[in-house]
Amino acid sequence: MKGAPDFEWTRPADPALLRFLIRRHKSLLLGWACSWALLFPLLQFFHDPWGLAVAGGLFALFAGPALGAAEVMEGSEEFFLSLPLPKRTFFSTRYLLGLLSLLLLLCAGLALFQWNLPQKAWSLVVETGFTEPYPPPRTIAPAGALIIPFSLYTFTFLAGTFFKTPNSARNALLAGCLPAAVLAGGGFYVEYLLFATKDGWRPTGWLPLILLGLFPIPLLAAGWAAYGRKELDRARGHGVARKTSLVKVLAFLLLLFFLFMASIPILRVLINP
Amino acid sequence: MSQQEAVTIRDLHKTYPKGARALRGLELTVERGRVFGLIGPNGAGKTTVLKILLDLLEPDRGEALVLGLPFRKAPRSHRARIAYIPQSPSLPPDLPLEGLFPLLEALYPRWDPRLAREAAQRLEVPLDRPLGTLSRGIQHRASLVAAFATGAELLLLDEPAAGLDPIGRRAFRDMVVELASSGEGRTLLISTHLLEDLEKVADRVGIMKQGKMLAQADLEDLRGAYRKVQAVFPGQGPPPGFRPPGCLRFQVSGPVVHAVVRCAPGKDLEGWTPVPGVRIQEYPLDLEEVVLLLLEGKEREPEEAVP
Repeated sequence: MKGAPDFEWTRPADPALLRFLIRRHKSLLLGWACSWALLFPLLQFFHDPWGLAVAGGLFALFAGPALGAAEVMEGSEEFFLSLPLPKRTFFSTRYLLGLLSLLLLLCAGLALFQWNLPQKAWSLVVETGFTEPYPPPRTIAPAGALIIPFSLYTFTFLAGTFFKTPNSARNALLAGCLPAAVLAGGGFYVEYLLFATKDGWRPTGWLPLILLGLFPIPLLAAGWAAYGRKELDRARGHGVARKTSLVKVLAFLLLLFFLFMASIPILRVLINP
Repeated sequence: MSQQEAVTIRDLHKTYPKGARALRGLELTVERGRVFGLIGPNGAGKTTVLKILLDLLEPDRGEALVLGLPFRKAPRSHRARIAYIPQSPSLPPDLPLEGLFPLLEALYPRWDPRLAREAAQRLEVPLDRPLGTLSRGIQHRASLVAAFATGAELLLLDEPAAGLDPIGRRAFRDMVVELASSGEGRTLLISTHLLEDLEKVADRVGIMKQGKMLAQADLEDLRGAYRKVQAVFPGQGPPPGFRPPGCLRFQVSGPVVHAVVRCAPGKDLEGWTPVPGVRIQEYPLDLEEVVLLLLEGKEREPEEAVP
């Protein structure tokens, strides 16, 4: 209709939906918080933010498909998309819930490292024997601890949210890991092409991190815009399942290919240091 | 577009990705305050219409307005005046029905918690059990409870009574009648195969076939426009070539003629009385018979059985 706005400028997250989603996904969120709480005393012994990257990455791999594809997988998408909320608000609220949970605890973890809080906490109960605080971690490690989970979460969320059938939505994890693997592998490869010398090459990891950090942002914006036009699926049945299996196999092969490509420069360094 | 229209559809076309043409230039108008029944065989495009109205599907061409605006472009306050019940239960299975109430209350300003609990009681839906543990019929009832309690001005119901047992169907019919007669000018657009139920609640119907609207009329006018006629002729039967005007079906069994005739409501049958001694009895058609007649094709030649 002429004169009607294309969409409403509203808050990125709807408070009522956010509260509802927190209640719905409380097991996931509590699980993440509890894992983190259990990890906290161990940080003293594994004083390395890459441990946070692994923990955050694991949470991202659960949270991305869970928040992105839960409605498709359980068949409730029709109900949620027919609510008065704009589709884009539904998209952004779900995304922000996972992202904020992820970043909140990752940032808290990094702050603990920065101020040596695990060591201080241990010293309250036992004689740790540690007299000198750990040096602050190298810059790349905290950056990696934030960027890798962010990237994995964004890719798996986007993959999950655009699948239309429960069968295909189960592939969100794989479909989300694929671009992350491609970017990481591609980043290492380009680093190798740019910086390899006769004396060898040491991967810095910065280029893969930059790619992993930047690439999801425009993709997320495009996904947010495209979600406003998302249609419900109509076709169900064997045809869809066959197509999904084919996509799964192709994705797996692509993943192997890029891992192989990424391993070439690293192997060369290891063989010929 | 008139402010009195709850639903306006103009020249709506939709083809699915694999080439199935669901809608071919559909035209539909539903006035506010009406209970409108959308009827048609499987694949007629009824569900597609409702999904396009709610922006769950995108049309290829044409216009679909709900309460005067396209759903996608409507502000949130406008959307909150519309509620929908899909054909298959689609409420989140891990939650009990009452777990949805806080969200619905926040999204629908006219949400009525008292009505929600009352409706749940009438439709015998447990409020505290996860919906996924309930039968499909009960899940469907739960969708009805949620939609009715939104206080929406326009309710789009896709096969609302299909999964219900006779008790549930009766409760549903009663609730529809109560809503329609509440004096709040609520509009219900009901897509259904269950014409017996629809006949009891709808005041206007649209009959769809292959993505087009065959007819839109008030239920009474539609039923009044067709009559079943049984005529007993003296002697061997009707004279040769006897074809009264408006005959859609014509079957001769000896001296008895069974016919379905289209004629203006309230007017006498034409072309039957000149035959002396004929005894004529007229019966109204029920909605199912009228719909079948229309779906078979109005222009079809009357058929004659071998005596």
